[in-house]
Amino acid sequence: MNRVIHLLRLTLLLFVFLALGQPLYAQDASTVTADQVNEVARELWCPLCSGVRLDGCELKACDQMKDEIAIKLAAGDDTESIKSYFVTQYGPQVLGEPPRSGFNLLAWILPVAVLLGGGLFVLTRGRSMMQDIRPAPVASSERPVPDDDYARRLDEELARHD
Amino acid sequence: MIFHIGSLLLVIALVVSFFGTVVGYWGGRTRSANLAASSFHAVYAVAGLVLAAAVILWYGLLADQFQLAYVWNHSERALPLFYKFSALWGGQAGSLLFWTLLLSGYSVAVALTFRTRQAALMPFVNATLLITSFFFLVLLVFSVHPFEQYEFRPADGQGLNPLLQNYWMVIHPIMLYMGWVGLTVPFAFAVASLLSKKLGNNWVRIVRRWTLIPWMFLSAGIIMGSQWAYMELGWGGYWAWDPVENASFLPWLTATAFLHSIIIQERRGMLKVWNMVLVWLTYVLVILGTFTTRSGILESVHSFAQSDVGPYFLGFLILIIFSFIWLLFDRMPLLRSESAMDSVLSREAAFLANNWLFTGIAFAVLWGTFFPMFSEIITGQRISVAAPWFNKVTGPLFLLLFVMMGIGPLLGWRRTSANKLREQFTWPLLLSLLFALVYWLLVSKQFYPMMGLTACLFVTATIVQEFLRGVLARRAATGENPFTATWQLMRRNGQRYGGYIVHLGIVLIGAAVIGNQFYVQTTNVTLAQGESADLAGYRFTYNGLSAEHQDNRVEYRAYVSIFADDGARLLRTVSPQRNVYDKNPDMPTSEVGIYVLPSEDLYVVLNGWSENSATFSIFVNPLTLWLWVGGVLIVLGTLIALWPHPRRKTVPAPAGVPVRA
Amino acid sequence: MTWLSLAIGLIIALPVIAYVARPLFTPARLLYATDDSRLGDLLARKDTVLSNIKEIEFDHQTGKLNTEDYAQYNQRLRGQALSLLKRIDQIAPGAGDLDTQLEAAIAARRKVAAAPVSDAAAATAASVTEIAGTDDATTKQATEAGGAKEVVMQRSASFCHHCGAPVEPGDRFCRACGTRLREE
Repeated sequence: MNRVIHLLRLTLLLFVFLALGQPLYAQDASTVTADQVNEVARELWCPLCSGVRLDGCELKACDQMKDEIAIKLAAGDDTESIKSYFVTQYGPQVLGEPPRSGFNLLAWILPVAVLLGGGLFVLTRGRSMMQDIRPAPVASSERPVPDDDYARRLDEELARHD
Repeated sequence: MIFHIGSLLLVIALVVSFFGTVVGYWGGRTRSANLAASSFHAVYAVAGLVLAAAVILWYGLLADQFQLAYVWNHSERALPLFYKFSALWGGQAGSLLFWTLLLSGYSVAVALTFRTRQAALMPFVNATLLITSFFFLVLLVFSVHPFEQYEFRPADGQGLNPLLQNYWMVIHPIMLYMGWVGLTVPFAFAVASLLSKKLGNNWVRIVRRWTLIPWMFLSAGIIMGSQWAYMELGWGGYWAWDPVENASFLPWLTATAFLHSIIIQERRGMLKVWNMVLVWLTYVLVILGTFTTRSGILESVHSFAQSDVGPYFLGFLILIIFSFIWLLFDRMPLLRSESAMDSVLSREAAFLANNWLFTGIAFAVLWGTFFPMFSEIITGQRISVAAPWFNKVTGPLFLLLFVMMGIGPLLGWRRTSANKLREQFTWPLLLSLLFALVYWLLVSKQFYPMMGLTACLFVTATIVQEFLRGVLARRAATGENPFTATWQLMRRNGQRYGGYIVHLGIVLIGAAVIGNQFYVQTTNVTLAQGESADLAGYRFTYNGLSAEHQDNRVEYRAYVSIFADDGARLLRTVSPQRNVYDKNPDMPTSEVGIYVLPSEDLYVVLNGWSENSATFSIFVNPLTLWLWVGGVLIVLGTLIALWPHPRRKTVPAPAGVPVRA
Repeated sequence: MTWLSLAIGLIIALPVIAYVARPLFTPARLLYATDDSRLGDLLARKDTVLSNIKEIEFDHQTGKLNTEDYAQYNQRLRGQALSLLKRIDQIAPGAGDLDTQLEAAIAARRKVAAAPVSDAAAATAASVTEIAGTDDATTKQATEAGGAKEVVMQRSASFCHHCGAPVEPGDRFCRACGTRLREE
């Protein structure tokens, strides 16, 4: 039980800092609610872990970023300017998608190009496959008359083939 | 000493698998029954040896043999027995051993199933399965060493990664691996049929079945992984387009494409080369996925283990890519199409479009997964490719895929005439348009969710219509009552109607994804004891916190009552929870508190607490229940499609069979 | 690593090696007698054509195929099926009914279970386990049946691209439907 209490105290400290503790310098941002901060954080990505959105990240660095958002919101900045601030601060990583310029444009273009190219390929192949087909099946008079015996056997097999 | 024997067992298995590979290929080439029999024995022997090695490692885990580096790193005395057992696949070396174990299991299953059949193919199949085992045994013997020992015996271990101490995380990797590993089997048959030049319809049927089985496990594994992320990671989501998730999704995409296009080959003898390419691509993506997850080449929250296996994987990948391309080109003349397409308005054409979309999506996902690496190499700057990119690029493709999923089944084979087209499409289209209109007027005017949900409804309508028409046709032919007719339909034409059930599952998942993508409501609140927060018409009241010490962790549980109707009616008290592990106190895990309604999940995460208040993230996630229901339907539908066809009516046995042997 | 564990390793390795290598020291046998998979192919093809007939019948019943198209495709497919039946009869008389025989044989085998068997049906069953009748074992048997009638077969792996009927090397037109064949 002692151990539990000790642990409880330990984690209390941890969590108070993590979740509740507004750092000292953020006094003026205390009017900004967590929801308002997360509204912005939802459009940013943790620069340290890949694929984790800022509002869902529990790293200390990310909590600091959220505090910064709160300060900026209190100062009257809008979402776009906050985003560009973080881009200059941490690089394009925080956007969660490659910027649409330079080499990174390739990230956007290539899938579309491959898809269109593939579609064109399928289309031309499909057309050439269709051209192979004869206009009409051979008229029944040219066809050798199927013997009744075989036709009967076929019907039998069909009946069994379910 | 027993662990020395463990590593020796792996060495013996390595030698035997190499021998079996040589003997298999050679025996298949020379048509020698002796060599073929030896390759069968090699399959059984390797399986036995790997199983014995795994049992030894299990013994090490269960008996707290901390002188083993693996046990020390991934277990501890206080770890519950269940997780000691599952720690086998909790780390790098163990999970590779587990991979090999499952592969040997599949190999034995295949070898026993085809012990007396497919004599021409089996030596090659055995050899291809054994060469894959051989590769993983090379890793186990030369690179990752599951049985590495210390000179002394530490008193206690480091403990298992807290994120892995969860029921879902025990089952999910098994399912995923069963799927991944199983996809080696269709590849082995593809290689075998190419090598033996027996490329008739025979291998197609075998392969369809042996792809469906791993496909089912893979689908279940992916869904369970989402379930785990949803319940454990506590960010309100289930899919993050994380590299590891993508690694499991990529082979799923190509395998799904294959399951569709193989039907055309079975029915019409078309697309033979393409199907070979898909089987091979699936296998390559499986190995690539194991590579990316095991080598840590792409940073990811899931890559728990990293080590120097990279070069081995790269070498093996190059081997399978080039040798297969060579083989395929060499056999190209034998893979000519037997028939031609009749019309664009045919199911063949719909399948082609489906394949185009599936491979397009697979390419996009692959590209997005690896792009950060390319970008870093070329520009030197690290960028992230996360959900926004994936949603923007693959979103429209998935929408198109859903539309195709509705259209495809309504088209007949070969050609659908204009009046039949009208007959088939009138009702589903009318219903969908009506739905879209109502949705636009009453619910929301956002384009994507409206289109997405309309597509879901369209597919559902076509499936219902298919079942109705099928049942009516069967009734007309046999006079059975509706229930028997439905049953017989699924039993006798499981491939088609099981497929429709799977489609229905996919539709449910699609609807849930749309709900979660566009209509989530969320708030972050700090509540004093007794205080409430309102969200989406529900009231959440914080009642207090408890702490309880379990085996190897302390569980902090907050109690939150959820009321409907502005606090008038108590729905449920949920208890979001945080576990702080003794060995990893800085990695607290989360158990969310959920109240599931058919329309939405009320999802409460405990973020932190102090003396008399606590902070919560509260989410209202629409339609999430249907994600899991959809997963169940997928498994069910696959089972229907897999179920053996009832025996054909037998004819009374003739007195003697006039076959002179 | 101690000498003892090495010794134990060796003790484990020896029987394993013996087990894996044993088949190599038995009298040499061939996996399958001939390399002719033509009959197996024909039987598989027949099975597919039969399924296709059933499928378009169902498509017609559920209103996906109009009556004219159905009649046309049905006629074409039945033509294919008939020519396949004839080809099968040419190669191995009686093999066309092999499905039936196999089923009977298997039924017989099920009845006698493990007991020693002597009649022809059981003998067939002992070597045939595939039910669909498209297997190598079947092929082998049927080939032998055909071989007994001294039917000399030439290997032909090609089929008409239009109707799917088998094509002999050198044919310029399909024997079943008359389509001009592509240059190979």
